[in-house]
Amino acid sequence: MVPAGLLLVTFLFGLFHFIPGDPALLLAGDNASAEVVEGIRRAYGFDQPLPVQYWTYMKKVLQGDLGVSNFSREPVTALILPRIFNTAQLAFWSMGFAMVVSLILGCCSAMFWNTWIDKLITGIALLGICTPVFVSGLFGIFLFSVKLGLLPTGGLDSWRSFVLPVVTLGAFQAAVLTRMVRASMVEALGQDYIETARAKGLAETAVVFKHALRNAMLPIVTLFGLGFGATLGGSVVTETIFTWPGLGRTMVESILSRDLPVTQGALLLFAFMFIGINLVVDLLYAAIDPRIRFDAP
Amino acid sequence: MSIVSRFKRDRVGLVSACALVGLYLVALTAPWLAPYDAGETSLREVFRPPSAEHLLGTDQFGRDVLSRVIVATRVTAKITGVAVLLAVVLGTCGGMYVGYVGGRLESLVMRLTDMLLIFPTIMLAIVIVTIAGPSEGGVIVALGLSQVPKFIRLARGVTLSAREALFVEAAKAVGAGRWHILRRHIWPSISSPIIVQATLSLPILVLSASGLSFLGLGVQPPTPEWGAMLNESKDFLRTSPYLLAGPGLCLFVFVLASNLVGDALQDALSPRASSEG
Amino acid sequence: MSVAHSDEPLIEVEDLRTYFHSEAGIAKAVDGISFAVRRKKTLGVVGESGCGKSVTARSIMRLIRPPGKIESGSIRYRRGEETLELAGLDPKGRTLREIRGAEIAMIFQEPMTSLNPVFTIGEQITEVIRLHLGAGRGEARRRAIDMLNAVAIPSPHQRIDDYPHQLSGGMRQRAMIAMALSCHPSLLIADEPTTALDVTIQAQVIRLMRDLQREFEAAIIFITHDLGVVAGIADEVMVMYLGEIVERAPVRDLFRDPKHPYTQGLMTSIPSLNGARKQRLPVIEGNVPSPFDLPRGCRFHPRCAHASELCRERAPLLLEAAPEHHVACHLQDPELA
Ligand SMILES: Nc1ncnc2c1ncn2[C@@H]1O[C@H](COP(=O)(O)OP(=O)(O)OP(=O)(O)O)[C@@H](O)[C@H]1O
Ligand SMILES: [Mg+2]
Repeated sequence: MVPAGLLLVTFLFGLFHFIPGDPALLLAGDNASAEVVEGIRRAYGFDQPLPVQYWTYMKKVLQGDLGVSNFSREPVTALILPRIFNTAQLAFWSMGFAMVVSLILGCCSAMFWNTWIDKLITGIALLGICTPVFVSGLFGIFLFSVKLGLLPTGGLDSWRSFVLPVVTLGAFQAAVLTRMVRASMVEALGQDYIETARAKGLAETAVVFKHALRNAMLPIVTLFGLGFGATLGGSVVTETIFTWPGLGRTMVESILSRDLPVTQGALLLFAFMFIGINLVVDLLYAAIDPRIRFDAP
Repeated sequence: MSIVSRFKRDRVGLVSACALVGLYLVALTAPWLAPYDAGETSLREVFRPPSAEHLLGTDQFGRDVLSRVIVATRVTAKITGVAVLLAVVLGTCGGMYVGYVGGRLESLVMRLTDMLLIFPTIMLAIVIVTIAGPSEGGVIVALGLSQVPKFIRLARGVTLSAREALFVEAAKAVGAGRWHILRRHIWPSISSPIIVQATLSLPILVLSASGLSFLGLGVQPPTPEWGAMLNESKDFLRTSPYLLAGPGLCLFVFVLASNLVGDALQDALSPRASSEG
Repeated sequence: MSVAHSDEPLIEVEDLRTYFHSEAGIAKAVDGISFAVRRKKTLGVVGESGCGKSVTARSIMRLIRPPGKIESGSIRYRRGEETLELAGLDPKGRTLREIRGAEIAMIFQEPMTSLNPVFTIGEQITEVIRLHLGAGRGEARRRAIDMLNAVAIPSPHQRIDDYPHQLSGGMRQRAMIAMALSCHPSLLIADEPTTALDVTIQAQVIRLMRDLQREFEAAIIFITHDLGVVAGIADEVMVMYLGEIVERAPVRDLFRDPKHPYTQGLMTSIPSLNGARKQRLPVIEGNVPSPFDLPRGCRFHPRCAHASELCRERAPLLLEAAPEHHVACHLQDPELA
């Protein structure tokens, strides 16, 4: 975690220097006067040797100072903090939707393996993973907002604003995860201990939902972790479709307007969220797998 | 070649392989296939709904949507094709090399790829586009590099197991060089999993490429691109919803076909999975 | 549970056929076998790998799942005064669930994988006790500890909270046995319960099963590769080859006078009692044919030193060659020999 964080900050520091051209010029924007550029060069310390710049940047990040937006001149931290909450809400509900749907459909599919139920579910899931969020999202807007007038086309005002973005983003993840949950469940149901459970006289539901699911949860937790990361990644596109005031849209806008401090800040926060999710998954995994719990030194 | 014959017996796989080949043929012959010049604007013919003249209608600049969709096939095929190639070459060479030499370099590289793999493709691509700048070349590099960790892992894994094999020992005993062993003895066992992984990466890349363009971070207008076209159509949903159909459907078909081909190839390579179907 | 007619068979299998359907064709894993087992008796089932021993066991438990199917035959199970046709029951139905684990229990071949890795052995044993005997938590736990004690697991109070991966192979197999016996089943099907164990533990487990059988008056179907083990535990032995019974006889008769060339082949390859026992059955010339492509006539003829034209043409019937001694071989048929 700590080395990953250090590496990240170093990388983001490098972002200024990877980009071809004078960083001061980039920061100042395209039509700034020579004095402004010079001022920025001094203010940001671009005239200092690299190690000094690196050290200064690190110190600032650790203090929560991510710089100032080139355009609004607001501190980046103040700009993006409220956005994180909106993005987290979107990702959280979408992932919740995806987890519930994929667990139900995936288990059903595995339970009725190779029957028409299984084929129907796998078919729908396949269609789902082939429909990009921005196609289903636009179609959803067309149908539910434009035609039926039931839901807003975008923004974030009431619970109705949540429906389309959450379902659009969640459905895609649900399709991806359903396939994976099914595979894990089919695998678990093929194990010897399932035969043992049946031989004990347990009802089929107990066999599936207690013995098989509990084992399939091990890979599923990892998959859900990856899914959460993918949902956060997908939120960037979803926020753009539904003009959602989140971190992803802010990041894209900052990239398009070359507002580097904001881009850097947004990337940093995204990266920490991915690392955080990964960490939680590792901890959860250890909590549910007795083999890890006990063998750990 | 039992893989080929197993693949042939998979009817869904065969049909989707044909569809994929068809899409690439469209991409190759796009300029001749397109009924109109994809870039030609005509202010007198804006927002024409689909008709016999313009099968998918015209957009806000009066450009023929069908022609633009066809030309966009070429753009997407090129971007994703080159990106996959880039990822395969860099990832496979890198993975084979670190897998073969082992040691500290290997553990360092694997730590790094482990870390990169927790970031979704689109995020990695966005970071790289930020550096390389939004353009066709930028997207290719971004998408290619974002897939490299997967290929490194895969190639290293196969190399590790192949390294222990007898014929490698024998080749070493004879005094064959490192690159000779990698190419002659390890590459053959790596090629088929790499091809499968490349096919499985294709739909992800198609989705990410059009996603980037949708965000405005990819191919820039006026070059036709499905994601970019969808982004433009967003503003005219109320009046001209038919603009969605062409690019949306093409994207869907491309992704579906490449997914199905990937699944079929994977099944053909592991007979256990295919007999279950 | 005391049985009125103790000389009536507890389980009677007649002309059982279990086939597996796949792309490559139909695998006749069990193809027309008949046998019966009485209370307090042990039937040994031997044969090379793939001859259908496990499929027989799983057919009785009705654990065969697609692509497998019981094609025909009957499995009659004597339950108190009534006789149940197991082959006709709904495999997911209530009656069968009441029988499984409570009246007919099974010990599986692989102790390493047959216990669920994410539950403690205590959880797995109490689960079956609570299910069938309606015992409460504490009662079930006490009983589980008793069972672990009975199968000679040291310090059962602590072991009960262990996960399978914390136990050795022998311990796991004993835990399996404890689980199978915890509801005092009247029929125990043991599918190679000792193959995965080393010799001393093997002997202990067998002694344990015999003691428990005497205590609970159970019938046992004991499946094994190992003729030496069968000699030690079985009352009657049934030798299977490619889904069929080739010879069935009381244990003494079989060892004194094996009549089928296949059984004779197995006998000559028994390792000496002190020698390495781990070795799998074999050493008869030739390979077992694929179950998809069975030989015409007698299924053993391609490997049989005495095969004649008749053996290639016609399949022999399982006939009584001596009192209680059944064999399916043309050489033993008085009319033909
Ligand atoms: N799930 C299955 N699918 C297809 N065929 C099967 C299946 N299970 C068993 N068979 C077939 O049934 C035959 C008998 O298998 P079975 O497991 O009963 O052998 P066995 O006598 O128990 O062998 P072993 O001593 O190795 O345990 C096998 O040769 C196989 O062809
Ligand atoms: Mg078996």
